[in-house]
Amino acid sequence: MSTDTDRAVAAGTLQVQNLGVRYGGVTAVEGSSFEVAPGECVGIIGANGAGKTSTLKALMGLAPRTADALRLGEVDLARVKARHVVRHGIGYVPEGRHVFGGLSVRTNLELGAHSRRWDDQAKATLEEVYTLFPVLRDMRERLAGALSGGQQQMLAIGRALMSRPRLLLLDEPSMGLSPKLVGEVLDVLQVLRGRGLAMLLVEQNAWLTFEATERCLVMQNGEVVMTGRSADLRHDPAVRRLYLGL
Amino acid sequence: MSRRPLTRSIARPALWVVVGVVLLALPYTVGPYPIHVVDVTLVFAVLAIGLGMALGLAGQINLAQIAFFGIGAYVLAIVTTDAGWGFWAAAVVSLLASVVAGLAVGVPALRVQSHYLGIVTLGLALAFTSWVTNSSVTQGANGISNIPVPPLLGVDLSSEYLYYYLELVVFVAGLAFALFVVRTRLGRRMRAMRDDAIAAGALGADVRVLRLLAFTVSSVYGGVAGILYAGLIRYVSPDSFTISTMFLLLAMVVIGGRQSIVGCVLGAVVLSLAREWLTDFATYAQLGYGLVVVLAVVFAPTGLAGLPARLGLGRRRDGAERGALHDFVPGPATAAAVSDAGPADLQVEGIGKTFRGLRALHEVRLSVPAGAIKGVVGPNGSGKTTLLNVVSGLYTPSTGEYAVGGVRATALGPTALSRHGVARTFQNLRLFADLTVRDNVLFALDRSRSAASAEYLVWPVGVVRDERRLRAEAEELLAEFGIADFADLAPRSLPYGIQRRVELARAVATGPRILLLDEPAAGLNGQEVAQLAQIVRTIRDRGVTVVLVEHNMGLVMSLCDEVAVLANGSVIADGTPEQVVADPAVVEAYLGDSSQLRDLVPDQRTIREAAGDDAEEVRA
Amino acid sequence: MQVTLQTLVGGLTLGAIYALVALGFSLVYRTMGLVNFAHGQVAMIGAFTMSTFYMTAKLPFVLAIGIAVVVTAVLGLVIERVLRPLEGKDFDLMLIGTIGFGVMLEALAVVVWGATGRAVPSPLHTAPLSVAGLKIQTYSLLVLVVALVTTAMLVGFLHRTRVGAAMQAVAMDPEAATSVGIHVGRSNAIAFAIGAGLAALAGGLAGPMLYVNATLGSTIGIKGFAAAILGGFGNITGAIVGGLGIGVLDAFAAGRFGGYSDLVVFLLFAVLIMVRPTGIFGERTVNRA
Repeated sequence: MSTDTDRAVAAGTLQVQNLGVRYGGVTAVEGSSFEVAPGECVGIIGANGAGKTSTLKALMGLAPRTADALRLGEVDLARVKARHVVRHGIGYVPEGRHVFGGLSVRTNLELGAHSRRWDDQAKATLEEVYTLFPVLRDMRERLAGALSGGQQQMLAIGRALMSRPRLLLLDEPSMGLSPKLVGEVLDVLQVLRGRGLAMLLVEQNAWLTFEATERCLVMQNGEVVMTGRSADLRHDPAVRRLYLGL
Repeated sequence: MSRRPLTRSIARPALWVVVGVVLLALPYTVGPYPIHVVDVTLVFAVLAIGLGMALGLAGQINLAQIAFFGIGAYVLAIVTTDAGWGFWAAAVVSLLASVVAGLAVGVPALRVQSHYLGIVTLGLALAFTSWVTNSSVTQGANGISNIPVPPLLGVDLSSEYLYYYLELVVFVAGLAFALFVVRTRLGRRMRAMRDDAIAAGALGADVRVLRLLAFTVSSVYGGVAGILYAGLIRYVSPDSFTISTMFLLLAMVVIGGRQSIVGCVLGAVVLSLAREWLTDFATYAQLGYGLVVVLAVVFAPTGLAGLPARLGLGRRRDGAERGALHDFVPGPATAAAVSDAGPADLQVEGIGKTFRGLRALHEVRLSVPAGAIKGVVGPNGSGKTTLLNVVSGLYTPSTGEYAVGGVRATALGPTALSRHGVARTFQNLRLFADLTVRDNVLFALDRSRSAASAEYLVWPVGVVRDERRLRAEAEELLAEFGIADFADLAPRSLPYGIQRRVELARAVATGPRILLLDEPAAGLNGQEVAQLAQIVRTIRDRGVTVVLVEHNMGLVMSLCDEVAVLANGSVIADGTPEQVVADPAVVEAYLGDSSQLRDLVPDQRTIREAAGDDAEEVRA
Repeated sequence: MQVTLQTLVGGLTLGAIYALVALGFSLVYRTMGLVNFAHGQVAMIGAFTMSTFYMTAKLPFVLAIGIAVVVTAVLGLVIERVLRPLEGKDFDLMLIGTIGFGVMLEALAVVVWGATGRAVPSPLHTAPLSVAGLKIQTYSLLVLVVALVTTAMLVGFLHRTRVGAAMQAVAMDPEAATSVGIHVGRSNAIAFAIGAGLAALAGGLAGPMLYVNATLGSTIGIKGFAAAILGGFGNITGAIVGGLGIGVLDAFAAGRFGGYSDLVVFLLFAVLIMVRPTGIFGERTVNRA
């Protein structure tokens, strides 16, 4: 995305220290700490139930959380209401896409810019999203619920981009997609990365994560058990053990 | 929302004696008008017990209770005055009429629930009002007078003092029966159904029969109250059976505490008396009821009966502190629980399932040999849980067939499948949250049919005997599963790992031939996973086939005889763990492009080593 | 034939009222998952408010209805605030709580306006139109037109405005809506206020057709609710079709069965619901995890 001029968005580092998420009696995340620098792409991998999704939800204020520090640059995210997080430059692509199925593709995208004024710049952003995902332009009057899984994923990413974020949180963008579509998702992530957008990518698909990110955190049972450069983890048998139990 | 279970351990006998003496002596202390008020109050108490049974116990929104009441009273009036029958003969007819009405109103409950059921039952109550105000048989708005005094062995029941004792006997009998139901298997089933109808059905409770029974029981109380009312007032008119009376009744049950029968009685007494005191300020009284109901719902959803617990009086125990999770020690109870019929195989032939055009499963073929542990794995969204929901009867497949133990099972519902020996656990734990751990297990152990509940009337001793036997079995099973310390606690108050164990015990208690486990290791720590593996293996050795849907690959690799891998709704690999894990298609489905991740694809040597290691670990 | 058509027109007019009530029910339900059993009583308050401004304060009919809509919408905001703890919760509690609220409103109406009720004169004094031998009251036409225009405006609001689209988004997925910056609580409050306003409009329009008293709420409330369910709960088209359907059914039942019309309508309704529990157009459920 082109640089933002109409408002000062915190472009600082995402700092997370000792994050905990508990639902009732169940601990989903415990004591996890990490950072995402501006323009950096970081992955979180791990088996189902490792606490990946809960981590992202906690950052968005959508899950009950505790943390020693939860900051984006100068902004104390711990004090920001869930509905205001987007204003600080964080876009969120939820697991399972969660597009507004009964609304048209165009309305979905317009709602992505709900936190901003609908001005020329917003319209320009819409054009950029249409350029990035031509299929969405073709389908713009269709109901989002009628799109295929892959198209819905594109829409979910497009919707998040409409707020012109500096940091994009992506939760399992490959879920339920065929290998070919996973490749297309990767292409999109590469383009966004090329534009200097910081990303925190939660994935079960290790290959996609290694391709799209510079660094990875490995989570297990709610804790970060390993961190490393994606290029190194790609050859690490520990990852295999995590996934295949060997 | 905290609800209190209906069963309390034992009510303090001293309190009952005091209450009994007060009730017996009451007529000697009050004047003629107060005794009339008390008589009316008792009628409402009976009515409220009935509503409590449907609404609180079984979770059935029944806004037609007033119609059952009205039918009881009106039929009695018509049959005694028009047909000239004696009071008691007419009473039998009117009770039957109420029950028929109860069954009729209950039928929609088989198809619809919650607010739909609310509006249907309310509509039927209005239909009743429409009938009595217009029909010539009911003499329209004038009502029917000259209902005879019920004769009773020369006792003059036209005296409201003596009538009080008749009512008292009926009320006490009604209360006792209600408490008996609540504390035995029928009540337990109804509460289970209220908490989670899907889980109750999947564990073998015939939810439809239970719903009809709830309405029937409710209508019996309504009919009895109607008969008592007609005998007391000896005049019936539409004014007594309006929708506002229905709402008053609802207020009694809510304010008293809809999930406690005693609470319902309490609510009936409090509001009946309040209504009497405020009779000159009817409008303000109405305003008051409304306000109290709103406040009760927002601030005290458990009503008067739940107040002690909400105020922190009474027992309040934190599950985690109270006991320890012990090791699983299989014994006679586990062995007895497992079906004698032996393990059943599962054959899935080309199952497909489509949700609104979205294909979740496609041509799934799967064979689980009897007595095997078969793993079903795959990435998120690959259709594993959908498959489990199909073979446990919760979803009807769009295409294909499946058979359990050689019997075609595609068209059987979850309840029939449960009786056929299919038991399951749920990914998100569907324990009955308001039943104790013991009751969760008791519910599953009880394999009697709900339709056989006539035993409650015909041979209650049999019910008690069964209950004793079940309780003994449950205690043993709880002990063997290492959860005896938590028997009296609600699952909600327990740590996740213990809840998982309870759910497993509950599934085994149904006496399965095949056990379907949906991610049983999710949220468990390493030690708990090892215990789980041991339990599953033991259950299999006792003669149960196990299907394991799981993400924890370590568990799957060490535990399963065979593994099938699903991706995008299709089976992409099926074989021994060693074969499956070396299959490039599987690696790709899990990790992404396998050609790019050559280092991560395991070779045969590491597989063998790993398999050997894991087996050692678990045995140790 | 003549009589049948005459009944049909009467039924459609009444049905338009039910449809407006059903619309409010459905809007509130699909936005926040709240089944508001007090909705009919809100309509009744609207009818009384209208009658006060129209008959006592002698304001023009349209203005009186306008004031009633605003007053009731504000009342709706208050009710929403009180019932907020129940949103998306246990259905039984919600049902019982809103019924309690309805009982309160009914008693309140008796306190404020008295128990006897009042007949509201029709604001139109023109002679009935004669179309092909049918006599059509001009007021009937007014009601139908208002209902039509209101529905069109509501649909336009939901689909063409930012606030409307945001409200729909909240209904479909509150969490995703929050993540794009939509204020879910505010959206719910607006939905409730609009729902209450629709109820007031229905009540106000019903004034000159039905006798306005405290029980008017339960009469049009239950029929309106039945209409919403029959059409498919939470479904806008369903609310309109269901409303007109119940109205026509009501009119014919009254013609043929006299006082037994409620009996016939509700028995038939029970049967229809069992045949098709999700209504004609299917339920638009809210997302509840």
